[in-house]
Amino acid sequence: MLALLVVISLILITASFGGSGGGALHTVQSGFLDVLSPVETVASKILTPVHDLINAVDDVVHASSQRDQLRRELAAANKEIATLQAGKHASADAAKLQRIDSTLQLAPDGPVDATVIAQPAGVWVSNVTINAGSSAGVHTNDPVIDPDGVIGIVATVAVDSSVVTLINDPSAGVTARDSVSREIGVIGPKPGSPGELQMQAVSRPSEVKVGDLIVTAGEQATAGASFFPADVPIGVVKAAATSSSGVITVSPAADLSSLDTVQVLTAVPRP
Amino acid sequence: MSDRKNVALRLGVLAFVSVLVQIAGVAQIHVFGVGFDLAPLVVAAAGFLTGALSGALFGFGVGLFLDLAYVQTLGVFALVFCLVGYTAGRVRELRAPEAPFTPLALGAAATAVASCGYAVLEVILGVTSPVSLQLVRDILVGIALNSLIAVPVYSIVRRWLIPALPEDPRRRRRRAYTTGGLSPLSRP
Repeated sequence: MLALLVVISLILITASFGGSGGGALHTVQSGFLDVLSPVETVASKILTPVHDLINAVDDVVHASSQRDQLRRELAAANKEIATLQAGKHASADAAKLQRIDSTLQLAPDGPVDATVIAQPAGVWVSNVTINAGSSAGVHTNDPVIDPDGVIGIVATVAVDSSVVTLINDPSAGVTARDSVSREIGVIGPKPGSPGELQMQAVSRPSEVKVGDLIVTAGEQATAGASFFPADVPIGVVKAAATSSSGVITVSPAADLSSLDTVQVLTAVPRP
Repeated sequence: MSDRKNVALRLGVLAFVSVLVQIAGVAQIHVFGVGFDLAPLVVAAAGFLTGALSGALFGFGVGLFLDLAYVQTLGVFALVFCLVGYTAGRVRELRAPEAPFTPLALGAAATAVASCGYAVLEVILGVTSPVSLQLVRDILVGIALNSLIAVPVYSIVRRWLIPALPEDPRRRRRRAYTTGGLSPLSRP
């Protein structure tokens, strides 16, 4: 009897496996399924609460490990997003720097890309540390720009890092020019307004109007100070000089409180 | 109704109900990503209780039912469960194990034979999925899970079939002791 059942099974397997999808056995199977389906549906509805209950218990048992797994995945995803955003930001900054280099023809000035690695908090802070030093060709008094314009000069150089004094520091002393009236002055911090600059020593301050773009003059302000290439943006005139004070308020082009990718001009011709 | 017809009827009902419960309910319960499989447990229990020939026939019927219900290659489950039912019956006929863990061992062995037999047949029939560590793990977890429900399933099958079966020798022996008539201790 066992042998007969085995032979029948083998015949069924051979016929079913060798036959095409529309064979007689397939028709029998389809017909059987048609008959079974309603019964199966009813049985499934009856048994649904039971297997739902057991599956719920299984879910609860696994909930803790699944939560931990999801937390790990979330942390990894967040890290990846942060990396991608940093990369995107850096590449956007790099592109902007490339554009400014191209526009102002700064290639001969030896631009070296760097990243701000330390920026002390606080409104009165006027220096930052960058990750390029003498090993990258950086010298003291080299001008530093970011994609928006001038940010400062190199004050101290180490092998692999440098400290940059920002243009809102009194010692920076950048000679500037009004791009419209061509009036020349010196940029310095505005007392009492850490987020703003002021343009001083202008021979005809009334010629400088609100909204004028202030750029580097390309001339040395003091003996031994840095020599910025001409026409690099510094900021926009926010308030014109009054007859009493003669102070011109300039809003800096670069956001000095949030610096990231910068460029040190290491080969500016010096007098 | 004769005993044989009664056994056949009960086996038929058992096959229908167990396959239906398997398809509609048990197959959807997953623990550690693996589902329970009622069929090998029921076939092994039925074969163990009714004998090799009945077990083979019952296994063949349950397997064919599953083949039809799952719309897969006909005869695969039929062959596997036919052998499971026959082997369970032969174990009872040759060894007559009476240890308390017999249903558990029977369930685990039946699940292992069914899982491996089905996998071997699928490979022979040309299923291209490679034998992976995941497959081995699933088979082992399946055996462990089925072992957990082997005892209650055996108990239910036994309770269903026992009224139609010839009197169990163990039951007869136990009854003999409790009635006091045949116990050696009660003899004068």
